[in-house]
Amino acid sequence: MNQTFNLQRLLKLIRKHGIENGRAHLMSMLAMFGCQAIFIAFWATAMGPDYQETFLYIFYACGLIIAGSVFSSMAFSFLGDKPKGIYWLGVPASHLEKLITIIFYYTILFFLLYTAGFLLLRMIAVSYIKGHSGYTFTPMAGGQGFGKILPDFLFGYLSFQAFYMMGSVYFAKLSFVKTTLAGVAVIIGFIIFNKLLMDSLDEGFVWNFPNILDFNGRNASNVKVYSLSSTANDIVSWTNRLIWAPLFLVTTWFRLREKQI
Amino acid sequence: MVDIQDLHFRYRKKTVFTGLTLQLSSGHIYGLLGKNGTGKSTLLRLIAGLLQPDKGKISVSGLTPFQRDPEFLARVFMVPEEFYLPDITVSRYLESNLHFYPAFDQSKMSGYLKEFDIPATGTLQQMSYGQKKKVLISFALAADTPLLLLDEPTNGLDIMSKSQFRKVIASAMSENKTVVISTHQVKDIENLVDRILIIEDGRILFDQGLDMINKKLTCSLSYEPNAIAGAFYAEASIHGTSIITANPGEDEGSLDLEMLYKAIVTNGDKVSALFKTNTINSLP
Repeated sequence: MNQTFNLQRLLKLIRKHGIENGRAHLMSMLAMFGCQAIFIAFWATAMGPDYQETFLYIFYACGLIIAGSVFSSMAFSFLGDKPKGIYWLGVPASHLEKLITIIFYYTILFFLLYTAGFLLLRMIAVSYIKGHSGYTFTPMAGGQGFGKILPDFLFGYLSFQAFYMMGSVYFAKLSFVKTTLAGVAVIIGFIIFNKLLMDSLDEGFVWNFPNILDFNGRNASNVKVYSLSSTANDIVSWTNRLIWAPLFLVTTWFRLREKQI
Repeated sequence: MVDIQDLHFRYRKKTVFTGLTLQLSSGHIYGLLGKNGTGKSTLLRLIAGLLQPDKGKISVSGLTPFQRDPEFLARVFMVPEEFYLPDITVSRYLESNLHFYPAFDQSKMSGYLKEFDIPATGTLQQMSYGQKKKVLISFALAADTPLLLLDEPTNGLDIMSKSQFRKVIASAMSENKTVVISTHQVKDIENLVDRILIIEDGRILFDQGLDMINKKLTCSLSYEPNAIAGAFYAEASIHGTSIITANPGEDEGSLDLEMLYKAIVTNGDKVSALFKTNTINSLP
């Protein structure tokens, strides 16, 4: 028997989680669908006559990250309750399988249901708008404006989900608030670090991540720029998009392994 | 089955174990007794892999509990004092859990539920605390894990349920199984356990089989001042004074577990000395 990962065991665990928590998850999803419906109904009926689809997708992306983070911050809340924690840790499955089960329900299924709900409501709202002669509807262009950065929001969603999931293992109570505060502290630390880095540069140099600008003896139109090659820049950029979710999830896995109740 | 060597464990503000060594063998039902806060539940949670020892080693069938490998978790079932069951019916609970235990026997489960008179309808959360506990005990026994840890299992059970509990535990025993029952309600496990472990201040104060205890100690009622004064423990009652003394003839005496516990807690050194002396004397 593989002690780290076994597909059959994982499927049993996913099924067990569904049987035992399906009703609670369904209620959460219905509540979220209700919130989406209220917002989109308000947009479709009161924000005319010129409708921009981009606005809908901004709502979708922000809602996905915020609602996803709140939902994810409850992923391991049961570990703060001794009886529930003993029940969960005692299930004969590995920590990895238990983590994957939680990711399946709190990240993947949440994303699919949130997106399906949004697309359904969007379709109804757009049909409603197009059915009115005085209304105009501008679809979002895929490769420009918000459409261009929408994929980044999806990477952001995964990173935020993983971050709040990690927080729910570390903080037994008020996980969302404490994780948010921890995140803010890290961001402030990063800003201070950047400031110190800028201050350490010689006079005339400006740190403009990821480039360094040299103003020495030059005017604004003749700045010397030290930058990474486009390949290196792409690597940094994609690493920045992709690294956070795995990093937080691996940390969560280690934390689960050392969890004591 | 369970091998504990030089176990050290402390919570943030309280030291629980400082060098505990203990072996538990298959085929026995152990009664783990001790005052509140002496570490009985902590010991069970350490054996179940829910806590990590600060120092020392715990091994269950050669596996390290705190690694919480699926193989280990499928071999150990713990019924904690405070437990959780999801808000689903018994049949759904079985459907979601039984596949994790290779030796699970559904017919035994049905038998235990019938024995405990558990209603077939309604969800687990709609049941009383005692009924929920009986469902969990039934599941634990039907799972047929080699190691079963029960923390205060009779708490919340009514008088009839306590005797049903003793009956089902006895019927589920086998040579390959080890059961550890932690309790301070010693009357509830009388005639069930075959070995007594008493924990005091993070160490094993007493560890003897019931056969040996019955040979070495006896309980009786006495009115004689000399006998009362020489007893390991004496307790006045309206019928006379209950005393626990050395069993002079080494024929099986009548033993009251509660009296034994009180004798060991109040006069542990003398009781232990009796067992050591006799053990040495019995050597060839």
